[in-house]
Amino acid sequence: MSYLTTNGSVTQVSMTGLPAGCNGAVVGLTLVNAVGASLGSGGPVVVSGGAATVRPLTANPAPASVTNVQLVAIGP
Amino acid sequence: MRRLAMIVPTIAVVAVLTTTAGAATIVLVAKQLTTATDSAPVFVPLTLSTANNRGPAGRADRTDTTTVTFSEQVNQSTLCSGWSNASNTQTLNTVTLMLNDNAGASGNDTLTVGAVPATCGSGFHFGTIDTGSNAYVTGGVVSFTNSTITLAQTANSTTLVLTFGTPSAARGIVAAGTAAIYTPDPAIHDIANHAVGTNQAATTTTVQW
Repeated sequence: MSYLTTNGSVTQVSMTGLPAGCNGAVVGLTLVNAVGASLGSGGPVVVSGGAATVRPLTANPAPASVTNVQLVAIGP
Repeated sequence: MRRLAMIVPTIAVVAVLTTTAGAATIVLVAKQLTTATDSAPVFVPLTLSTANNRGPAGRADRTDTTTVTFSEQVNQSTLCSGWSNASNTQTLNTVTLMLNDNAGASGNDTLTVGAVPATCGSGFHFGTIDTGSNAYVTGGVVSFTNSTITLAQTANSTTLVLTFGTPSAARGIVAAGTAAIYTPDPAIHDIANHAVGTNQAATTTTVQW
């Protein structure tokens, strides 16, 4: 899981190393803070080659405010 | 090391609604539904920016700068082996910065750190900036001798400023490009030993310097 930041905010989230069985699945994600509140979300995108890049996000939080990234995958 | 904290696979039934000539049909399809939670990156490059201090905008000239900020205090020895965290500021003179012609995976020119003073031992672990254009240099690498790198740290941030020195050849003037993207050297860690990983930072501008 890695970020692309622009001007101090998360603008893209990339996932790599996903299991081969996830290829073709559709994934979405939500960035959450320490109490589980959503700070932004993105997707759906299709997993290909064990990777997926989610952009744009509904909001662009500062990395320091994000504690966890919740993922949902459907399929393949 | 990041790892998934929870994986809950279940079987879900997904309803797909289709319409044909005004008639609605609901098709039920069994799909695998998986949820997971991953801890967020802690140590990342936050910002990338450039400044034009000499010459036309869109051309890399002496005294033009490139600035990167990180979200935490960098373990300075992971940038330059001779640096110590005991100081919040560092300066390297007689650095050679390189604009590498079409060297990026995208075919764009890249900015890297070349020769550095012996205090950095095996080199300066900066990484690479994809400049967002293939026209900053043409016809080969342009080296900027007598460039400088400065570091300044606060309790929860680190700023690196790269200042171009004397260029070895003419440079192009870029009128339109895309955002530049900084990919840090994976050797870079913060003082809590978090690796910078594959996190990147992009400029808000599409023409640099």
